[in-house]
Amino acid sequence: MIAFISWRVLQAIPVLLAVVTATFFLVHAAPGGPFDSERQLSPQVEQQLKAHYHLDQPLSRQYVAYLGALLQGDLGPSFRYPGRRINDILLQGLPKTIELASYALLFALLCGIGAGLIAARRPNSAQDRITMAAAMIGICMPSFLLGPLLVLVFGIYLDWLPVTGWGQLPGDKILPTITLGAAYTAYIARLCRAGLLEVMNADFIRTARAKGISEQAVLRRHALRGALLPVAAFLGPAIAGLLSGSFIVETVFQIPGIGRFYIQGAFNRDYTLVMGMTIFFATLLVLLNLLADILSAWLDPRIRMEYRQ
Amino acid sequence: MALLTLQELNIDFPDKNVVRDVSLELDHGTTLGIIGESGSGKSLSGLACLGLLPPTARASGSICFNGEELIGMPAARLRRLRGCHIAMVFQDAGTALTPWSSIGTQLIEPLCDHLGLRRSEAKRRAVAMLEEVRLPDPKSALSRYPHEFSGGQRQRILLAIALAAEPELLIADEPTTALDVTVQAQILELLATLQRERGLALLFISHDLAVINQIAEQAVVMDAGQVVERGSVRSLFHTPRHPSTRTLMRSIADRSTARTAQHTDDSAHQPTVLSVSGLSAGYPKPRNGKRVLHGIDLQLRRSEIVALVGESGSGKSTLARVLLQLIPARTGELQLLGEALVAPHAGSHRRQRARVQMIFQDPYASLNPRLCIAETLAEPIRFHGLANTEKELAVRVAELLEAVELDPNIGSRYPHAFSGGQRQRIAIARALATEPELLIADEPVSALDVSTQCAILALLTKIVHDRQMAMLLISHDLDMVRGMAQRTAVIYRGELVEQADTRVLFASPRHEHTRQLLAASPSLPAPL
Amino acid sequence: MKLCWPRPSALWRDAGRRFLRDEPATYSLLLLLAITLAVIVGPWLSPYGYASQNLQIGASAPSIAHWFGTDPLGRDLLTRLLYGGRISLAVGLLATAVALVIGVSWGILAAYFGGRIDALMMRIVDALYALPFMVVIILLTVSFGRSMLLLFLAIGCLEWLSMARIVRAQVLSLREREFVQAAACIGLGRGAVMLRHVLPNTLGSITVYATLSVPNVMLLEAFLSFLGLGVQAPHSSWGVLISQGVEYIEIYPWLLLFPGVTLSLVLLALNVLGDSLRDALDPAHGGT
Repeated sequence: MIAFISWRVLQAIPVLLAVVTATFFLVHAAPGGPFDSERQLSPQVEQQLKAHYHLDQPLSRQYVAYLGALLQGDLGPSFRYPGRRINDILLQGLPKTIELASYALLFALLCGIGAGLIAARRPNSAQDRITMAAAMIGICMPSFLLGPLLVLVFGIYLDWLPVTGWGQLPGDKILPTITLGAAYTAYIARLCRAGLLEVMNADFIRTARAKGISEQAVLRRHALRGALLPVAAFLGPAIAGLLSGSFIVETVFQIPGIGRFYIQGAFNRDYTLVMGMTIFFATLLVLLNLLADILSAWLDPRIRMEYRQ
Repeated sequence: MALLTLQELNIDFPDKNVVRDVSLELDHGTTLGIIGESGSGKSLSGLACLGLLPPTARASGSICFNGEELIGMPAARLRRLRGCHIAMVFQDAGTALTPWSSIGTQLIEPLCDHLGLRRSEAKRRAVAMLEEVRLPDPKSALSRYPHEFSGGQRQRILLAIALAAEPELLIADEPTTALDVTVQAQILELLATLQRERGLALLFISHDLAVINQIAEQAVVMDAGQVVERGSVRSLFHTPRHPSTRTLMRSIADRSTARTAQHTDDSAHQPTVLSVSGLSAGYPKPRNGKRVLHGIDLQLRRSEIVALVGESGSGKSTLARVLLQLIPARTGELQLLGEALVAPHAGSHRRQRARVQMIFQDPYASLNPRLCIAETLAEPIRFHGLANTEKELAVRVAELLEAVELDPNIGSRYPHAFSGGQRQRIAIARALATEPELLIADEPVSALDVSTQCAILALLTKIVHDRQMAMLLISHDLDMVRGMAQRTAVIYRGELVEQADTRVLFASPRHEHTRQLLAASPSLPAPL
Repeated sequence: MKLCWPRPSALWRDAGRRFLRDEPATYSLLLLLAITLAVIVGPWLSPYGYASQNLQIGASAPSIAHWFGTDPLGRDLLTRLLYGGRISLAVGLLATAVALVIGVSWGILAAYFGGRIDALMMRIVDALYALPFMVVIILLTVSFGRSMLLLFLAIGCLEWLSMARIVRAQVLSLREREFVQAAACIGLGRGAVMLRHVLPNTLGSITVYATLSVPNVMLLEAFLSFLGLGVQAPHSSWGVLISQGVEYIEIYPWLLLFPGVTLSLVLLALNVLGDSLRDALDPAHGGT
């Protein structure tokens, strides 16, 4: 297991380096500088600005400097919020985004696995069909549609829950969590159902039944992991999707997380902000993927063996 | 009173009846074999005794175990019986163990659930069980996972699990079919020992009469869902009464009777088709000082069938692939009718490929599902320019189908419309399309029912003789080899350890491994 | 007897039969065809232009003149919806096509070459997989500006990853099948074996995956347009319309209702269709 983990960590390093490099050069290859905006700056001012941000140096020097700072955990200064570091902006928004994504993931896992198991217990029964129809609708209901609809129903017509903010009013975390988690709940329910149905046809389930253990025990000890494996494999893409999805939910519910900063950075062409956040997101995702892989390997001992080949 | 009594057992699926009026009895401490071809309902009958039929199947009639009726028994009571009194082992030991649980967990589970043992007690018992099934190093095995064991070891573990709670009845459904002969012999011996020592009643289900003969005195024959005949294995084999038993037994006997005897003598004067000398192949660098194949010397003459016998992993398939020029030889010489064979990469060697053709084991995977039969057969003809016009092509395709005794008008149909035996015939026709000098048949009938096997073997013999080809028959089935091949070569760990005239080799094997194989190979019932 | 490329085989015919027995899938197909037709023909038949404003009526509820109502600038919502549908569907189809071309060739080449090249190619896919999709697209729009063409390419270029994995896995498993080895025994070159025996047998899963990737792509486009990073005014797409609808959700609910329902219905139909195709082409359901 330890060998497996170190092997996966070693794999992640070139990926991260490639991401940093690609991001850096992509942003710097972009036509137009960060300072050509509506307001025309005088050449002197622009020159000063460039010197201040070291933009007058050759690209290779800038790259090395950026990498060096990055290794010390410094994402550099923001072009658009003078005097602020990207690190500060991240730190300010990050807790909210992480919290939102975690709640949504938890919601999706609990409801999704539950619904998937309920559906798979009696394939083609009413409970199966209803659950799967709901899951299908969940997949086809984008968050930017579901969010406003939930706001309309629970926030405005029924007036049960607050419709903006995060952590200011009691219950204001419920709607964003559901909005972000709904589609993933649906995906996980479908994966879990398909996984369980496949496992239940396996030979080893017959062996387990032949032992005479209760159907509950067959399900819990022998089948459940088979249903969870596809879910574990989906965790990586799900987390990536949740982070991207948080951009929408933060916009709809006006939550000051990093997603909103990122979008604003994109509109303002705040290059260092976009670059820093891309690198940050990629790193986060690579690490979370690593965790998801380790989880899969823990669930299925065969995966632990595979890497040796 | 009998331990297990089946009376007029019927098993129905919504659309058809699969088991009809099956009655049989099994006493304490005795063994009964059930023999039948695939689809005869033998496995379902076994499953019914544990109440493990698929949910769409419905059983009616009576299954009486120790005086208790199993059909209609409440699920909880049935479960208790399954754990403590009736156990079952299945065919494919590779998939029959939960891949993500350790052996210990799987073994301890029934002990804790049914006998109410504490974990430490159950663990001791589990180790003792693993010792009893002679698994090496039973203590450390508890914490290992199924994929870390070989097929034979997994079958032992399954036996340990089945017998852990000391059942009175064990149902074994083809428990050795997927194993090598020597491993099969060990498992059968183990089963017999356990049965004797524990006074188990054993219901042994198999398609292989020789295997049943090894373990049971008495057997029933099932055909199309019915028990057609019962009696001692010997009398069933030598004096079958029911017509379908008679057909089955004749097929079984036919497999090993010398169908090649009449050709044996003249092949000695025939020219050599294939000559292999000093061949080695495999990994670029020898692993553990060994390559997959080394020092292979082999000759095949025209109209000759030479069998290549060996266990899994012995290098049989690698040798086939080298002869097909799919992988290169590392050292040594390969000659086909006196011309050196080179692994072809350029077009000039295409013709050489055509001269060696292959027949594969699995008839379901050996035809492209998206090509109709005519297209499948036409491809090699066209590729090698063996027909000048479309009309000539059509004629040749029809000839090929006739040569394998199929209706020449089936060309427009697709593989999924055919049975296993028919597909194997089509695959043979494709191999013949390039008019090869050497045919390689890799377990050509092991995926087929016995009666189909005989027909395919007869066809192959006829083709080799009529077309004056040479055939290398790769198999683990000594019984079949004895009937088919003039000469037999034994391969063991990448080396040909012995080759001789088949009759000589079977009568007086020289190499230790050959002797092991022969001793392990289950034999048909001795004459009455 | 015709001896050239395989005709639609019995497998496909059976799949078609199974598919037609599946009612939800048939209705989905009809719905998709109807919407596609409406989107193509509709804007020409409509008496209103998609950008023509009528500030006098402003936002009006659905009526006989304006079936789906108008937005605050007095633009006919139905016309805008149909026009936006062109863009949404076009993005969906074009980006899927881009993904298909890149993914299939990548997967095939990786499987064809094998060894180190395969390992390298698949490591690249793994690495790209680990990137946050949305973040990359936003990065691209920042670097190269917001244009529709870029949107097609960017989405397509990122959507191909799963395609490449699926195709490679299929090719690798098919290559072990006996009929492919038999073709090699005949003497066919590797390319010919690939074209005649391997590729035709991957078409089923490629079809299924392509069908399921169209709704993904459309969702992505709507997502970006909703954030204001996708399709730009005066053009519209369903994502743009939904984003406008959300602004007026309390006072003019029809502005969200119609685009929202349309988008969801199309996504639903495409997903149902993809699932049904998967079931129909699955050999476990019959055929072999």
